[in-house]
Amino acid sequence: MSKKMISGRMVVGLVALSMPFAAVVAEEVDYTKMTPEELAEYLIFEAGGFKLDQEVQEGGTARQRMVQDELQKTCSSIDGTRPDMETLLKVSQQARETITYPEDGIKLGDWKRGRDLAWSGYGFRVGHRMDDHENNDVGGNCYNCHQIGTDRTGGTIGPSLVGFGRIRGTSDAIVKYTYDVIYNSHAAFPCTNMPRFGVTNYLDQQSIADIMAYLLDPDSPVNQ
Amino acid sequence: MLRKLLPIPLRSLHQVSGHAANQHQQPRLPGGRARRLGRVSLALLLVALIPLTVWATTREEAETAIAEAKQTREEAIAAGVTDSPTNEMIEQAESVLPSRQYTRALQYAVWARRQDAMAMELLAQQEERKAVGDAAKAAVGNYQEPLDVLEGLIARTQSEYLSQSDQNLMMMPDSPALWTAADGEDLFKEPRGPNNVSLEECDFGKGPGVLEGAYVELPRYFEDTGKVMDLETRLVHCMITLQGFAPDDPAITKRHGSNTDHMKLQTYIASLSSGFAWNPPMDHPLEKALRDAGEVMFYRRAGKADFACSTCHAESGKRIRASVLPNKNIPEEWTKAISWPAFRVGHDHVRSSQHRLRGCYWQMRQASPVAGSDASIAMLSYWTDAARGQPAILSDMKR
Ligand code: HEC
Repeated sequence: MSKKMISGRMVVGLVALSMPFAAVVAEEVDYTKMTPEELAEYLIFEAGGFKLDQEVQEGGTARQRMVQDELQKTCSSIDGTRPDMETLLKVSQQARETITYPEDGIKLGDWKRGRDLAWSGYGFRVGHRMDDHENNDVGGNCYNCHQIGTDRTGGTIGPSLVGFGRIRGTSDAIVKYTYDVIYNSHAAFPCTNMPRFGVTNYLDQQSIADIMAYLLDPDSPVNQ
Repeated sequence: MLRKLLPIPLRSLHQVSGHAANQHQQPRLPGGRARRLGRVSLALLLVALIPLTVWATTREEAETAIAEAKQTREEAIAAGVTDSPTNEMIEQAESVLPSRQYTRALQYAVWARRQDAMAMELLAQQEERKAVGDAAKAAVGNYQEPLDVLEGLIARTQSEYLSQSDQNLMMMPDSPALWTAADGEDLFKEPRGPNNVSLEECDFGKGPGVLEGAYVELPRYFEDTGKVMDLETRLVHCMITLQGFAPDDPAITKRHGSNTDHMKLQTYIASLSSGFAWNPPMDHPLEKALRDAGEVMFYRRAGKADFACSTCHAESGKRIRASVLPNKNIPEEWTKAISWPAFRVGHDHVRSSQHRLRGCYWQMRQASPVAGSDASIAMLSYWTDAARGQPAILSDMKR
């Protein structure tokens, strides 16, 4: 047996010995030595804080729902302070780059289906009651934050959309603007509260077209 | 000294107010303004009356009056009127006796007495006002019916969020949560589990069995576990370690619904803190660390819809559909938001803080929090800290 082999075995042995030790150390992390941000990440991902292994509607697991992308990180400042102007411009610029358009151009769909979707909060919820996308359409949740029609009470987190098309018309520019805001609102309003329905594939192209029709079609109750 | 106070009105005004200002070091005195007014009017009275009452008083009368003034002086001192010109007035009265100015002596004595009586009355009024203020302050450290707490908050704030449901306000006195809490009290005191002991030995932070005001000081660090724990986690700990329940016993695992042991016990324990001000301790470094991590989580956007808690809870008067949302930055609103367990009318069940938290993450399209995890406790530490100083509404009634 050569010296090399012995020392090789010893190394393997040492590694094996040190593994349980490493595991113990990992459990005994000192929360008070971490920054609040580090601790939050640790609690979410390492300390059993969330059911990360549950499968989610878009495929994969709930873990990926908890991982922040760049925009989410940038727009999460504590106390809700907005980032500086330069950062906001960058967010807006990058958001514009995420927007893709249908090959045959932006279309307005069926405002009736659009209305149903705008008023539906169904979709992408996981955990104790999981939304079933096989048997139900994913809604846009619009009514939660916007007053849309005058017939039902909507929320006030976002601006009122009552008379949206009547006020703005349906020029190509307005149609594109509407599409952009639904697809990735941060292009126009960096660090807005509004979800990025297109970028994240929250809504598919048909649903976006239908919701746009609900907002813009002169026959839609939004514009009566 | 008295001379300074007496004859010249303008000067005396000046001196009196100067004198009053000096008395600020004295702790137990009537309010400065009232005192000053009292003395000024006294001085003016003296000036006006002395010339009218010069003759016709016997020495005996004067001496009696002086004795009475001294007696009152002692009462006044006993009542806490420590600083007063009356000593000098009495001295002055005595000093004019040899020159047979009995009327003058009598007047000095009478006015000295009146001065002390007035000071005592002012002091009593001030103490009464302080007592009312203390009672209002103490109400925050004393049990108060949940409806009274809520109505007090509504009166103070005119918050749309607080006052949005007349129906709930009307139903609160007959809240089904009262029954849940009553069941909880029985369960709490009943010897249970393999060890056949009650929960009366369980320490929720203020000593074994002390429940009054314990809940508003949770989550907190517990020496015996080396962890920061919320009500639910602490309860689980005691049911396992004291009563001997197995971790997979339904008494431990079933957490939701008015009919579960957990909701009964939590509702009972929490209800004994109604009206107490939220006051989660931040003395232990772990308490502070978790609270700060909870703050990061509150503002942390993630998930399919880019939501953070702050998306919906950082402004006042905002609505989701028809519901007015509570603003985390307004403690008077936020105390209601975090007042769980509460009866949720729409669910027809009493619900816990952990249940609420789970619902929030579900709504945000993020992963489901694990009840009792440090992440969940970080969030509860932060949200409780945000309501600090405001009285808890236990049990509240929600949509
Ligand atoms: C999309 C908007 C939204 C987000 C994001 C959100 N909430 Fe809420 N929250 C609501 C609504 C709406 C209610 C009212 C509950 C109801 O009436 O169903 C509510 C209720 C609450 C309540 C109880 C309020 C009451 O009246 O009793 C608390 C506490 C709360 N949320 C905390 C949070 C926390 C913590 C987060 C983040 C983990 C969060 N919320 C994220 C919309 C939101």
